[in-house]
Amino acid sequence: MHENMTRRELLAVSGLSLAAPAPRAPAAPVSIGKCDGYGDGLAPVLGKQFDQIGGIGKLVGGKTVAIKLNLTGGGRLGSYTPGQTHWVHPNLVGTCCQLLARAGARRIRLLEGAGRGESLEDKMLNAGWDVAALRATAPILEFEDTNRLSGGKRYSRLKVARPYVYPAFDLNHAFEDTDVFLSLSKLKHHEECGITLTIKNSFGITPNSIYGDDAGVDEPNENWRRGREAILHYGKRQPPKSAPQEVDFTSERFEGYRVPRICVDLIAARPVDLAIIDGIECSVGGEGPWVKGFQYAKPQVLIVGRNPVCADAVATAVMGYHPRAKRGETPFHRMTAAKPGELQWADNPMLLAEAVGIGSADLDRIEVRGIPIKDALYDFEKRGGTAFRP
Amino acid sequence: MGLGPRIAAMALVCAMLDAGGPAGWVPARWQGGPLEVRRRVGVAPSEITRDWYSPRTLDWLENTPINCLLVTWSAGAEAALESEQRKLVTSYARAAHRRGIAVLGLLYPGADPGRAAASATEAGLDGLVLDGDFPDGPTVARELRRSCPLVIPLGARDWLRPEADWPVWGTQDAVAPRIRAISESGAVDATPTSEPWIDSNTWLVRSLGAAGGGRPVWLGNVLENPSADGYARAIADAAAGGGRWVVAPDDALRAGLWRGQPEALATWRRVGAWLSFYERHAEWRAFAPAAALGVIQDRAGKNWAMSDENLNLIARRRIPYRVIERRELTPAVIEGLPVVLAAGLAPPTERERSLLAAFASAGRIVVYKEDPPDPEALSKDLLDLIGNENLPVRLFNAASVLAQAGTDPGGGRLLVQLVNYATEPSERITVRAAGEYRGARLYSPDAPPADLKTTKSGGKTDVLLAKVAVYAALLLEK
Repeated sequence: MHENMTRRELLAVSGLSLAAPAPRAPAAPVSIGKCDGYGDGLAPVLGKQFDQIGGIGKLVGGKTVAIKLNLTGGGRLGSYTPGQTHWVHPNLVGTCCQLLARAGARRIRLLEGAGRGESLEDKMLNAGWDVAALRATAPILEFEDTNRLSGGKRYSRLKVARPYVYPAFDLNHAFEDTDVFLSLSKLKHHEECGITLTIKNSFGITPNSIYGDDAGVDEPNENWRRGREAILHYGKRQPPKSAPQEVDFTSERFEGYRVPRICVDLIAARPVDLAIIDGIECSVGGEGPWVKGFQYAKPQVLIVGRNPVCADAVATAVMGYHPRAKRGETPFHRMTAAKPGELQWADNPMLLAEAVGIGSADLDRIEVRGIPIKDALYDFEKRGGTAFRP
Repeated sequence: MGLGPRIAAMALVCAMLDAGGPAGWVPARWQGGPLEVRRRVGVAPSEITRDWYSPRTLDWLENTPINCLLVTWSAGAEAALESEQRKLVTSYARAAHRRGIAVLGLLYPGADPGRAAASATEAGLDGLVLDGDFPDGPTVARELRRSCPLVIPLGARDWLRPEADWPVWGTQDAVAPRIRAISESGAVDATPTSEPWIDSNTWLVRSLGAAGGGRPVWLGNVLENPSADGYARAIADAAAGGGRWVVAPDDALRAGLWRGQPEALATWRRVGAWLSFYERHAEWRAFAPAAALGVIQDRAGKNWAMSDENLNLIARRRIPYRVIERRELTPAVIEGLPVVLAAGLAPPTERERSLLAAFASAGRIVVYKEDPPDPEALSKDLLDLIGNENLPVRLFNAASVLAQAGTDPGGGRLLVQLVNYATEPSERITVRAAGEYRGARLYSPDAPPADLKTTKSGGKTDVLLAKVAVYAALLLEK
């Protein structure tokens, strides 16, 4: 165990937490649905799942709903579209918007970081999405590139009540200017962290203009060019002085330590009101086709829940893993070769989130509705999984 | 030159004119005869190669626009074999000429240039082509020209210098057009922000076209085990830049044609149809590049290889560009361009310096570095500098596709030619053109033209292409 760990962290990642999860972490029902594709059968399944978690009418009626999509990275696996492997599928996004609109959502905003010189719609077009059809799914549907200021005049500062790494984040205004925050993520592995579900999806809410490698020293860089490695992954530098700085500059710099904690800080700063995890078609072996060993998978499952930690715990179990697995235990370790001398483990973000009271990762406390876990089980480890690939 | 050779040379020029001359030639490698069997020992089936120059192989050219054959002429073999080859080819060339087909003799390393040129003239060939790794190709070509007025060097890229006045600018230094790297998992080599590597020759064709002052450009590379789509892609890749791939049927296709195999005949018909398509649309070669960037190249300079790599990567980043040969650099040529890359000028002359200074003082950008910049970083920086939103043509969902865009002389039509380098079709491609166009028509060698819907927004026009297997041309009209 690292010498810089706090008692809370120690509990979170130790065997003790397996036996005694923090009692204050709330639990909420999670629905598992089976769906064989992204066609006409999708809306009834998702609609039923919304009902199974208590309905969404009260949650979204007359309100603005912001949806953080997972459209990470570029590239493709062979002839598969990104939506079939490492992005959420456009038909799921469209169906979700339709159901939200039908439930009374007044305005829907799709949020995700876009690349340099492109809008979010451009990014979708670049993956072959039918943006016009997507627009038609709701009366007011907006697109916001959250890698920069975009439609906002200033960044919103969202605070973390019990921070691990950052006490607050400066984010695109859309994360504050919303009544409901929905995370639409993908069921898949992650090269450095083990899994990419709801909690990890929030890593992408940080703007590259502030948390990118070429962010300004004093101010955001709206013409950013580089990703979020130096600041967030490795802590080699701080964000611009205009943004909140780390709580402890001497803490561990290893990404297996930092990234899960930063993700938990982010879901604390911008709580997730509704989590949807797309596992109809997805991938094993990494978060995108740039990871060696990345493969197509078709678990045919959708996971929906109001609590992001509970939803991720159930999703992790559906992947065939123990949601309370400890640091370094499968799947919480690096899958591919690290630099010489670099550590290989990653911390379990669900336990870290549980430790600060965001949600429970204890399956005994989470009511699973719809399909039982055993019937939805899709063993990610057997299908290529996280086995170390030098 | 004595009277005999002079008369023979005149006959040769007449033959050139009969066949329309190099600008109208649609060439094919048509190697055969006993010399070719010797040259390619071990390549089966040798009897087909040996008997290739029988009249029936000319029948296969009917219904294709191929009107120029590159035939095996001399390789420096023993006299008896060379003589037997010459007799065979002389007779075959006469038969080809009767069908209006030009015949060029291929010379391989080892051939005696003087003797080969004299005998080619005597045989009534339309010219000679240097094929292969000659230690000093340009010198050999110049020697050949003393007795053979039409000589085409089809060798290394560095044979092509601006001072050369070859009737055709040809090279074998070309690649098989394709996506190059596929990992073991089937994933195209990619990173979170990058795209697969595309091997294309279109940039080279455009570079040679600019350097050659509009003379025809031929790519003389041979494909390894090509599929029917592989042939089509090689034709399209060269044609999209305004050049021609010298059609090179491989041994499997030749054997299949010889034996009348239906699959081979279908492939050959497709080759013919694709060549015909580009000849039917020959006017597209006169379209001026729709460009956001002018690239000044100097093929006479020491950095020409680096300039080539710059162009290759600029094309791969899909930055619409115009190639400007250094000697052609005038204010009019760069007028209207937002950015000019002058890395090929090392160093610029006073005239060039003042011309570019005037360009920059008008608020536009000149990119110049004394030392050749890293092409990969340069192409990225250029795209940043120009900005995606300022590109005259932009593609979406087209990772395996490159496009060439040009406007007609009247400026009312924009042509976007798309070549897909993947073996799988590319689907749901959006083409975004700057400007408002009222109509869009899709052309393809494999299908009749079709009108497509345009969507206009913010001074730009979007057109959705459902599927591009190998090639499509989109013609937008104002």
